[in-house]
Amino acid sequence: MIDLPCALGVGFKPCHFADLLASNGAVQWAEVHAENYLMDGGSMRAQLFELRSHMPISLHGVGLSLGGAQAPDAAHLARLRQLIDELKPAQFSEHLAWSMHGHGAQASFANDLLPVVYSREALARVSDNIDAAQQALGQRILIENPSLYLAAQGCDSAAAETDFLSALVAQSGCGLLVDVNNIFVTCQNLGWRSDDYLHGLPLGAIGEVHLAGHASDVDASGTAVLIDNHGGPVAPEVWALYDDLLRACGPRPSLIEWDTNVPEWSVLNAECTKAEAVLASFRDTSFRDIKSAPKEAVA
Amino acid sequence: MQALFAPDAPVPKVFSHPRAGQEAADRFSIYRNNVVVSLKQNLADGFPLLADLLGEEAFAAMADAFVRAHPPRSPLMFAYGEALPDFIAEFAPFAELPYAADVAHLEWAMRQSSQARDATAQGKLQLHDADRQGLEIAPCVKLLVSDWPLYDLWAFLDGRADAPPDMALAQSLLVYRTQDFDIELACLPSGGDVFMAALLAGKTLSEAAQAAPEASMEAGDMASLLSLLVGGGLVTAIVETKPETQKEEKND
Repeated sequence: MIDLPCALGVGFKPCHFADLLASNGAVQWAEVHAENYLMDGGSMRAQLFELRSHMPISLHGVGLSLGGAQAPDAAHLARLRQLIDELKPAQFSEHLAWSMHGHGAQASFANDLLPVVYSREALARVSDNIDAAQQALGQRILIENPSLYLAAQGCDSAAAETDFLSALVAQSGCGLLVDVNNIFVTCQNLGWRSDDYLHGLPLGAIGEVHLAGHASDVDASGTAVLIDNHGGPVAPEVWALYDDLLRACGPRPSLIEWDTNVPEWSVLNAECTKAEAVLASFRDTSFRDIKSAPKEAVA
Repeated sequence: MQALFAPDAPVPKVFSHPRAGQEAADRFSIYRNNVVVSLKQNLADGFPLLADLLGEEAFAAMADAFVRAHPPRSPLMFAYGEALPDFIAEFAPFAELPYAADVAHLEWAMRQSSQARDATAQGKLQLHDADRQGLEIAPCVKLLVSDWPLYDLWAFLDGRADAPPDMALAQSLLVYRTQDFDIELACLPSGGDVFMAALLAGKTLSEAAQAAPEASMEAGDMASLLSLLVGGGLVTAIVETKPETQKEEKND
């Protein structure tokens, strides 16, 4: 299996297909939501396979519900494995979240990424779920940190999540997909410190980084809340956090996600070019041992 | 999970609002909203002609009721909405639009066609014996039998015809996919629905022709239909339809 290049990728939108193939810019790879391509045939799949002939693909799952109380669905894993075998993506990633409850005709799927309670029981369960997915898909997978609007009682610092992620990495052998926008959104929404978050991450396990835009809103009690809507440019604070992250862990394959209010290719490409400039500034630096990167560099 | 689909269900106790003195429900409603909004958007994207026919407000009200009654059973969101046509047929507020369900059936069939397994004929198609042989039809071919002028309704809603259809007509359709992945509709001639249904059920050509005798289907129409199927690459094989293997190919 080939690795994802340590370069910029883009969350692929079919409307950008021709522009992406014709572009000679920053974007070197593309990511797609695996569940959008599990149909039997037709134009969507044909387009994905053509894209694959031009650049590496990262498959991003949104439906395995690895954070759930039940094991991932065997039939769904088998469908994903078949797509992986046919498409040969550079990697597969999923979320620290849940979305599925029940089985078969009694199942419901929430079509959203719901929060996991970071308990000892959940750790064992999620680790087993990741292990089952890695076995079925025949590879190490990456797990993405969620954006949270709500946390379980007692989760009053970033360590609640980063300790959980670190333990998952240690127990299941999975890697991490670090979504910098999600870190910012979660920390703002829950009152956590984003520098604590970066310090707490197992940096060596990071295989991919996501960047995206968010929206500001107020919740029903009038408290400010950030919504992870992937609907605009990356916020200045998130760019700053991206810089801090790469300073700590070194250059990593990085992706711009823009899923709602999808702009013209030139706008998206400009955002990718901006990220590539940041990535390039770290690509030339040598990172001998990521884990020994000085902590003050993150502050 | 129930708390997500039922607006009045209590928030699971384990969660708390990050700010003291405020309700977890104020934040939980963000998830609840995301779930319902994304599913309704999925339906609006998947049934655009139906949304036009019903109007934004009526479609949204129907979609809201559908999402709560039929939450997705799997993460394959391209397959969400299969139950919508039958739901609409039973949805009391649309009793005055009895053809709305058929428009939904049509849009579902078009989506199924667009996502069907790719299949082309292997080698040359050679028919030796119409009494023993039938046609294997490509999975992208979907038959829609309607009591309404479904083709004209589609053309009107899709902006291809200016005049509203004559509602006294009944039109059955064939939905299929071209080699370039375009979805096409053919309005079937009289008897064409019976003929196609027989072919799709794995009957021999002779049996299919007998099912649609001259009185109901003109020979020229049958020839045109066969020509459309063969010329469009929609016949993937000539098959011996022996009784013990006579089995309908899964086609919807």
